Amino acid sequence: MLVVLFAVSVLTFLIFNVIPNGDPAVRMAGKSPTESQVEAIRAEWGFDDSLAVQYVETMKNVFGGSAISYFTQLNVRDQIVDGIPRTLSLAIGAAFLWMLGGVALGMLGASRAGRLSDRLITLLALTGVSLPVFWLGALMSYYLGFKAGWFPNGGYVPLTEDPLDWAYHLVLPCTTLAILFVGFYSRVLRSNLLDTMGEDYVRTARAKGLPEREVMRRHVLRNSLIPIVTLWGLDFGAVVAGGAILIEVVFDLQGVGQYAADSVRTLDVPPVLAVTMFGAFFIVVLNTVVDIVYAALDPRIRLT
Amino acid sequence: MRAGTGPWRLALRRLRRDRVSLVFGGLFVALVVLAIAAPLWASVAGRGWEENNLTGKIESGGEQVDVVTPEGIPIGPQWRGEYFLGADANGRDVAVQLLYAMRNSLLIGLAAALLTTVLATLTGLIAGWYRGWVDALARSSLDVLWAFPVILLGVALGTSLAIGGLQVGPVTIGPGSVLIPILIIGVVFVPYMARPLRGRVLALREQEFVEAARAQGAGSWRIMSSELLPNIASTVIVFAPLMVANAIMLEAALSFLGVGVDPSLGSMINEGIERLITAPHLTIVPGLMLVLTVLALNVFGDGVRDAFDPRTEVRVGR
Repeated sequence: MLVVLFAVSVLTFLIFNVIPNGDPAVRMAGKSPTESQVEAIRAEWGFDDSLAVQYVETMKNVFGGSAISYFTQLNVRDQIVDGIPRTLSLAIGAAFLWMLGGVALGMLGASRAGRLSDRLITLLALTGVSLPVFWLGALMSYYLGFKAGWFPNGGYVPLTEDPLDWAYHLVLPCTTLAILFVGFYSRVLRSNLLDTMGEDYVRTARAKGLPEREVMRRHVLRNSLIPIVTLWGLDFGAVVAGGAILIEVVFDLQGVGQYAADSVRTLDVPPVLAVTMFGAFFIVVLNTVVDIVYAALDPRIRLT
Repeated sequence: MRAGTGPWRLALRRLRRDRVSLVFGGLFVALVVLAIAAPLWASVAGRGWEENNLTGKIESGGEQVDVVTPEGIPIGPQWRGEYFLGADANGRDVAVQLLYAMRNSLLIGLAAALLTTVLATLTGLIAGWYRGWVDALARSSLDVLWAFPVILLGVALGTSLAIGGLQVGPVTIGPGSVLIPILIIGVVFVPYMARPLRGRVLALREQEFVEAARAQGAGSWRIMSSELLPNIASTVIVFAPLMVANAIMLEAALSFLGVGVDPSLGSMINEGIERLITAPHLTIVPGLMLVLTVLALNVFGDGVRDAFDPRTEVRVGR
C-alpha cells in the first residue's frame, strides 16, 4: 500500500515538473519579470535544486502541513481541511441515495424480469448512466434552482451553521451524482439477484417450504448484496478522491475536488500533490476496508 | 439449430434477435455518419464551425434579426439550413460546431478505447501467463494507475501536456493535438479492462487445451496468440462498447474542465452554461447529443453482453 502511495506521489510530481515547459518561477514572477526577480523566486522556492531534492522538500511540506500554494500563497492543508467536510457531505449523501435507489430499482427489475416494465427500467437505468454529470447538474441547478426556485442555486452551508439549510443545499448535488450511479447499481443488483435466484440453495430453501419472502430476505438478498457492498466501497472512495470534482465545480461547493481542479489548471504543484495524495490514500484505504468487509460477509472467502 | 454451432454464431444470432440493441447500434452508426458529414453540413449552412458572425443579420419570422444582439444574446434554432440549431455568442453556427465536435469526441473515444483494449489485452495476457515478477510488476502498475482519481489524472496530464505538447524522442505532438486526449484517456482506463482480462487468463491457463498446446511444444507467444487470445476475445468484445462510451464521457468531462481539444461537446456545454439564462439551446443541444451517443453505445453494449452471456438471460417464472 505504501509503495503505491509513494509511486503515486512521484508520478504526480513528475507530471508537473518534467512534462510542461512552464517554469514555475517564471509563472510566479508575473508579467515581464526581470531575470533577477526570477532568480530570486527560484532560490526562495528551491526550484534550482535537483528534482529529487525538490521532491523531498515538497513532500516534507505537504506532510508537515506547511505546504503553500505557489499561486494563492495560502496554506494547502488548511484549504484541504476546509474542503473535506463539503466533499464528504456530498459523497455520503449521494452514496446513501444511490444505494437506496439502486437496490430498489434492482429488486423491481429482477422481480419483473423479462416483462416490459423490466426493460423500461433497464432503459431508464442506462439513460441515467449516459447522462454527463456536469450537464445534468447545470440543468437541474438552473431549472429547479434558479427558475423554479425550489432549491438553492448552488453553494454550500456548513452543517454546524444550519443543518436544515445544509441538507437543503445538498439535495440537488447529491441527487445529480446519485442518478449516475443508481443506473449502474440497479443493473448490477438485478443481474446478481437473477443469478442467485437460480442457485441450488435457493431452490432447496423453497423446497423446504420457506415462504418466498423469507427466501428472498435470508438467502437471495444477502448474497446478492455482497458484491454490491464491495462496489459501493470502491465507488465511494473514487467519488471522494476525485469523482466529485465535476459536481463541486457546477454547484460551487468549494470542496476538495474543486480545489484540486482549480489548482491543476494553474499547474500549482503543492495543492495538487496534496490532494492527489489524499485521494489516493482514501482509495487505497477503502480498497483494503472493502476487502476486509467482503471477507467478513462471505464466509467462503474466510476459509481460503 | 444445428448441433455444434459455435459460440460466435450463437452470439450473433442472439444479438440479431435483440431488436432494441440493434436499433441503438444503428443510432450510433447514424451519429458516426453525421459526424463524418460535418463538412457537408458546413457548406449547406454556409459557414465553417469557426466563423464568427457578430454583426450579421438573417431573416427570421419575416423580419431581419440580429444573429447576436448587442447585449450578446444569440438567436435560437432556426430549423433551416443556416443556423439550424441557432448561433453561439460569437455568431458561430451551432449545428456545424456540433458536428465537428462530434467528430472529435467520436474520434478520441474510439481511438482511446482501441488503445485501452490493445494495452489491456497485452498486459492481461502477459501478466496472467508469465505470473511471477512480471505479474507483480504489472499488478503494481495497474494499482498505481487505479489509485489515481481518474479525472484528476486526466486533468493533470491534460493540463501539463496542453501547455507544451509532448516530445517522445523524435516525435513531437503539438499541444492542441487530438493525440493527447487519446493517449491520456487510453492509458487511464487500462486497469479497468486489464484486471478482468488477467483474471480470465489466469483461469484459462490451467485448462487442458493449454497443457496440450504446451505438450505439443508451443512456445509462450504461440500459446498466448492462438490459444488464450481467442478465448478472451469474447470478454474484450463485451467490454469494447463500454470502453468507447466511457472514453467519450471522460473526454467530455475533460474538455468541460478546459483540458481538451476544440471544438468539443464538453467545451460547448461549458460555454453554454454561462449563458443558460439567455440561450439555453447552447447547453441543451450538445448535452443531448452526448447523451444520445453514449446511450446508444450503452444499450448496444448491453445487447452484446447479453448475446455473449446467456447466463443473464431472463428466466421468467419460477
